[in-house]
Amino acid sequence: MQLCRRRQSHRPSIHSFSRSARPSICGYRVESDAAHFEAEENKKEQLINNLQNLSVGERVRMLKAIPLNLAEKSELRRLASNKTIHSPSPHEIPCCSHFKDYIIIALRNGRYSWLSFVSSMQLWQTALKTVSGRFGTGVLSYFVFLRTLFFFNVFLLLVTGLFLVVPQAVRPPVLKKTAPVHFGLELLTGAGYFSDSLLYYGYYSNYTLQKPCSNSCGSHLSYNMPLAYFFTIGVAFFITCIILVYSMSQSFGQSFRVDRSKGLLTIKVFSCWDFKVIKKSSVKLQCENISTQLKELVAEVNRKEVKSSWLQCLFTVSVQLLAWFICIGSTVACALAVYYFSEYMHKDLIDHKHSCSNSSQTAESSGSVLLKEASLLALPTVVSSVNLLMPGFFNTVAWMEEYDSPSKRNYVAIFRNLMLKVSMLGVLCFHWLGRVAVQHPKCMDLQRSLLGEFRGAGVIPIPVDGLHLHHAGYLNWRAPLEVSHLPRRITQSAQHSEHRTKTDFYCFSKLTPSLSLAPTPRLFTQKVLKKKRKPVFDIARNVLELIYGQTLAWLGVLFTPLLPAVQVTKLLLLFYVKKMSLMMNCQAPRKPWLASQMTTFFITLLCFPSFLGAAVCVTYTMWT
Amino acid sequence: MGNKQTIFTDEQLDAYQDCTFFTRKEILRLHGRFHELAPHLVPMDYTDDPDVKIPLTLIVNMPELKENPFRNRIVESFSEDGLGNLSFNDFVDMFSVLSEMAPRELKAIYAFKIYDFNVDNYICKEDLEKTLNKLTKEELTPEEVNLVCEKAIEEADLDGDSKLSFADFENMISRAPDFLS
Repeated sequence: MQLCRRRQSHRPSIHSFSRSARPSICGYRVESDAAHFEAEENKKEQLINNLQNLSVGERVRMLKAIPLNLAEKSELRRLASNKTIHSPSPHEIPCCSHFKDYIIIALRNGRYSWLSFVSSMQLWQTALKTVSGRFGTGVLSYFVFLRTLFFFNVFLLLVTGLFLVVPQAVRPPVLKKTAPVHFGLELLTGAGYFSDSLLYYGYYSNYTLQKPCSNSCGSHLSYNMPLAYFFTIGVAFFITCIILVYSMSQSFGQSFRVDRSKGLLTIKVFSCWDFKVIKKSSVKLQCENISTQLKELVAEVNRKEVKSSWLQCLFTVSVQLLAWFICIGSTVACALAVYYFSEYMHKDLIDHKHSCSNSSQTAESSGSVLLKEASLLALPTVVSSVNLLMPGFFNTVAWMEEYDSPSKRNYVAIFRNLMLKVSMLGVLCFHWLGRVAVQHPKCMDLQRSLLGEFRGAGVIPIPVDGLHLHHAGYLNWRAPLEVSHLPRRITQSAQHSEHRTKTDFYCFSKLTPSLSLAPTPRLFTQKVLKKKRKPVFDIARNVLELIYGQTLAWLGVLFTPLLPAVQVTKLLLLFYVKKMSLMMNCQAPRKPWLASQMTTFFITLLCFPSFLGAAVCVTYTMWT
Repeated sequence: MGNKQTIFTDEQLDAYQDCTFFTRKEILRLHGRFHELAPHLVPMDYTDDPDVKIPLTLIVNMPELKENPFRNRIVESFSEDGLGNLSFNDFVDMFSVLSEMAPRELKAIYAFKIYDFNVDNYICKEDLEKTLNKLTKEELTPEEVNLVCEKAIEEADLDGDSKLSFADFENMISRAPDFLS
């Protein structure tokens, strides 16, 4: 069915639609031949008949969707409704339709403001757009990953905060008064003043919190702390696992969809532009984004296969193998170094404790206490410096290699960094769980002195037997559980207090290097290496650092329920620091490349080595 | 409020309401905006359907269109004479199609017209080049522009005439999840 306009009009009004309730309008052409005019008039009649046969609502909907100009449409409408004319009295309609108008407009405004609110709630949306416009999708994927981690930690913080921290803060346990030693190192080591706070596992009560009833006890408000602790951590991990797997499958699906659709370029050209944008800066941002994305697509499409000779191939492969060999060798060497160093530090600590317990306990000079606290920092400093320097070394090694595509180079760098981090974490876990946990129970004196020193083990002096007997209803199933777990709890708290201190000042010490890392690369390259060009943002190293930090956070959340808060603060600061340093110091990658599967890859890395490892360690700890 | 307005007859308002995606109040507000653009040209009384057109230069200064790189093409596509002079009917039509309520098919038709710079009902390579330059504010090099245009036509052209007809365009757009949204 076609309709034609008068010849002089530039607005073609030809459309064709099938006889259906929801016509599909497809294709049109300008009909300028007068010979067809008669036929078109017939078709117009047919159209009007069609319109008449529909219900009023359908007719209106169809009229709105016809791509004709208004005058024609109102003509059609008039002709179609001629047969079914009913002239309502002019006084009835206006008030009803006014009311209806108000409602429609109010609903529509409400919907728009809700949509704009929701889209503005997306954290850091503008910052991400700026970064992606200037630096491409590779760097964008790092920041998107940071945002994802931020949300994970906020969720963890909410769960632990709500179920563990708040009840405990409301009912603080009775502790022995101690004079905290201030050396200023507390912020880094997390010991001293902090060990008596909500920060640590030992502060949390091993009994059920009771609300003291003043007059008549109608119902007891009791909160079973150990059970709550156990279940909260378990449930938080379980939900994190589900969310991780879900987001992994989602991004997998997305990346496959993107790959399979041909015509990505055309779609980008025609449908990327958001016509609703009216601010000048947003328009500029959008243009920058589109041009960067188009450049990346062009680079992908344009990549030529360089055919090189056999000898060239062999040479390239051998250089790459050599580079891999160097990297693996250096990783193994670092892991061994950290292992032996930790063993040495551990022995040193034990010897020191022995000498202290043998001599009088009260005669501890402030100097030796300071030394002791500082020595706790030695191992994390070593590991942090390894993490800082080795990726730079890997980059140097990668200079001599030649990869044909930037994405391949990035993946190789990621794998090397991953190996390094996994080996570091493995050594550390072995040190904590294997050495520290195993050796301490054999020495009760040592334990007591440790307890006396760390003071966070407020659980021990409480006569738990008596307390449990008071709680009616719990006696049946909880008492046997508690009693059997008691001895283990005592020893465990000693071990855990050692663990938690190390984990935490580990994480604290992670803050300072990552914050200071930001401005150093440019100064380094410009002053030392005397290069004129700005450095390129190293995605591999930064992403692996994020994953590493997150693994530590997951490992430590059992011992330190407030650790997600630390992590959240750290990620927040990191986002802004990195963005600022990126804008000021770095340049865009020389060859634009499309990072279509980067996000999937990062989340997979987060899930499999990182989260799984942390979950396994935590389960092992909770079980033993 | 405003039960007795004298700008349009009830019949006219009903017709507007049925043929566009706007309610009566919004039509009246649009008339106010139209009047603001050229107060000396646009009469307040539209009951006798005056034939008043506002030139392109005045319309593209509206804040909704000012920063849009395609503003000239948009206004031209909705004008009767193809030069961008809009009557009130065309004005209402333009905003109706660009509004959120318009269906995707309708937007596709007009989008095709907007991107068709030489108005020959096909998007040829020159049209695509102009589109690209407007989209990216000339940030791409000429070689890149050339490559993108060639690749785009290669991807979308189904009938092999090295230009995109409306069917090709619509076929391509149907795959995009958020076209003109």
